[in-house]
Amino acid sequence: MSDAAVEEQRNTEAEGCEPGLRASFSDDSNGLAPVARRRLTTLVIATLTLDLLFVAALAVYSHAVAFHPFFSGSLDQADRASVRGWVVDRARAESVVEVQLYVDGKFVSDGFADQPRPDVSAKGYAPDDRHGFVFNFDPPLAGEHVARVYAVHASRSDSRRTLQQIGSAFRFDAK
Amino acid sequence: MKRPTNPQTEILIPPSEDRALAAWEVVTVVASVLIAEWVVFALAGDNNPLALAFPVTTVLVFMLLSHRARGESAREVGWRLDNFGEAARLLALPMFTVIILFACIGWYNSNLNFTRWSGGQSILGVPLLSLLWGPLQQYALQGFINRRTQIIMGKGWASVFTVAAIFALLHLPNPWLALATFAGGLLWAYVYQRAPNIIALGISHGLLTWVLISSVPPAALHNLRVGFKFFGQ
Repeated sequence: MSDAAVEEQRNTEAEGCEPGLRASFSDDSNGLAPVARRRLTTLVIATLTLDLLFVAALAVYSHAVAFHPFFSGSLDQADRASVRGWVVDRARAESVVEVQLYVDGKFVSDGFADQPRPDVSAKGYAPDDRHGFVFNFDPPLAGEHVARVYAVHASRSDSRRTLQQIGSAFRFDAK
Repeated sequence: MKRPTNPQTEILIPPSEDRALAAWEVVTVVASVLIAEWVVFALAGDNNPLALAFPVTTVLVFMLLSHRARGESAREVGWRLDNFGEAARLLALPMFTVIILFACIGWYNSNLNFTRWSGGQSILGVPLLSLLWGPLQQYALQGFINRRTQIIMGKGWASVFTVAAIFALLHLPNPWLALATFAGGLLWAYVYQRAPNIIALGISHGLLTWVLISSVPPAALHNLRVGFKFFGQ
């Protein structure tokens, strides 16, 4: 095969319809030029790094938005008649937090932490004292139970709501 | 030392470094698309165009810079008209067969409705999809992934199969759509290797998508949802 014929067969990309492996580069007989190879390698590494950073940033941002890290509070008391405690959203200390009560892992009731708790404001958690919650059992419970209270956080225009436990679980024996 | 040649074509096989680099380029594009489909929708929801814009912009810029680094012209990639007729000729018979087949299936199941589009949009959306979305997907799939796959494994069924498999992978976990895109990917990758024309492939993509949607119940295709969004309502 003459040199011209070899070159013609190699440079099939220009026409696109001929048989054979199309050469993707103008200098395909020697592979990629070192400069182009270095540039492409840098480009691949930069793009993958950017993707990785984007995923990490998105994960941190989404977690922070969905799981609001600024709730402070405590489940102070639980007995056969009621569950009591307090919660403050430190990012918006003047706002009232929605709370949900679960007993033995089952949803019981929801409400708002808007009951007077002068001790909370006295300790500097909030400018006002309306951050307490009280759930009353009617009829009163009997037997041994575990109570948990969760703060409700709405994000993404209220389309996503997450629960975060306030304090720790409270085990009580309702005799 | 003389580099090996493809025995069928007697054309020099690119050096292994170039093939590895091409493979990494494919991985980069696929990773960006998977991030858009899975991570963005999982973490930022399906109503966050700003978050979606990042991986989409990244992958588009990456592909353009890669073309530039490799000295590929738009014409070489397939943005051309001179071989439109050849590509259309190669596409015609398989497309005609598939269209008739799906029309018969839709008619038999009383599901044939050519005004149905994405669960209620009008038929006017179809030309828009054909002219924008189809060529854009075909550009990424053929103009980039197919070309890089040919660098890795040469022209032929191995690279055609790989391109179709990647296209199907990007449509998971939607089982029927993955199957349909695998079949479509085989056809489009085969045609591209013979007549690289993005416009013809893009129109074919839009047309076949329209026929698919018009003849199969939306529930079966899960409204064409892919990635994390597939699990949503």
